[in-house]
Amino acid sequence: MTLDEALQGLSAQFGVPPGPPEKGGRHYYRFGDTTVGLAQAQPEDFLCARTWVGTVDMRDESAVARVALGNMDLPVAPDAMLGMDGAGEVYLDMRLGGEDMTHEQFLDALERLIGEAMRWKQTLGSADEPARQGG
Amino acid sequence: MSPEQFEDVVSGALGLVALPAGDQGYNLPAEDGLEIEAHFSAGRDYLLLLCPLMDFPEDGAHGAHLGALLSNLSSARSGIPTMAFDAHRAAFVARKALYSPSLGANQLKAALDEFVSHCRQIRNRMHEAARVPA
Repeated sequence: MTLDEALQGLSAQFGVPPGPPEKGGRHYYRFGDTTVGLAQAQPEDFLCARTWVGTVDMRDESAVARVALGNMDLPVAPDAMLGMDGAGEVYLDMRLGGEDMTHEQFLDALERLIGEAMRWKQTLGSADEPARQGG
Repeated sequence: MSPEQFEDVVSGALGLVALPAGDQGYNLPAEDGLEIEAHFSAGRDYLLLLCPLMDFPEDGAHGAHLGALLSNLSSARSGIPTMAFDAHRAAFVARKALYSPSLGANQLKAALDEFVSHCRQIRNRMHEAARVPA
């Protein structure tokens, strides 16, 4: 599934045409309280999804360790991964696709990503998403 | 691919060796000492690939955590495995989870080969970096 196919599928299902890409070539969609950015991955039949889950004080060694160790156990979305940028913003990413991926499998993957993101938002005590997600 | 097909391919066609009883996993030792473990999730819908890369540093753990988390931000786009920390083994591990419902039978072998290749590259880079004096 390419990024264009994914965006067309979302547009057809939800009636929301994709906006222009933002930072990092990501197209952002809002699902309930969660914003997900979709971008092209390599090779081109893969795409990557990203959602913000919280902010960590980078000087807080135990908080950073908790996020780093969290990558061993992501029960809702084992195929997701936690990463953190240089400002302490924590993101949950997922690599999606392959040429055989269907629209239903794509939606299922997004649902798992959002479920895991909600779990991590609770874990990190996150409140509101930033107005514009980075990365 | 169904969970049953998934397991058949892993155990029958790829030459993985079952881990000891009680461990729902397989082992794929490579010739150069790289050890790949494959574990099924409880529902058999995920195959979790793990590869220990290097012992956890006694000093500098915080920096290692930060570096790995930063590197993980490019993993979804590139397909490079996630850098994770296994507290039980006290080691850095490369980690990748394959979701069986969206994986074709012919894609599993390719995914495993790609994982092994990436792990070899990462391990070599880490070992080279560890040899460079600070």
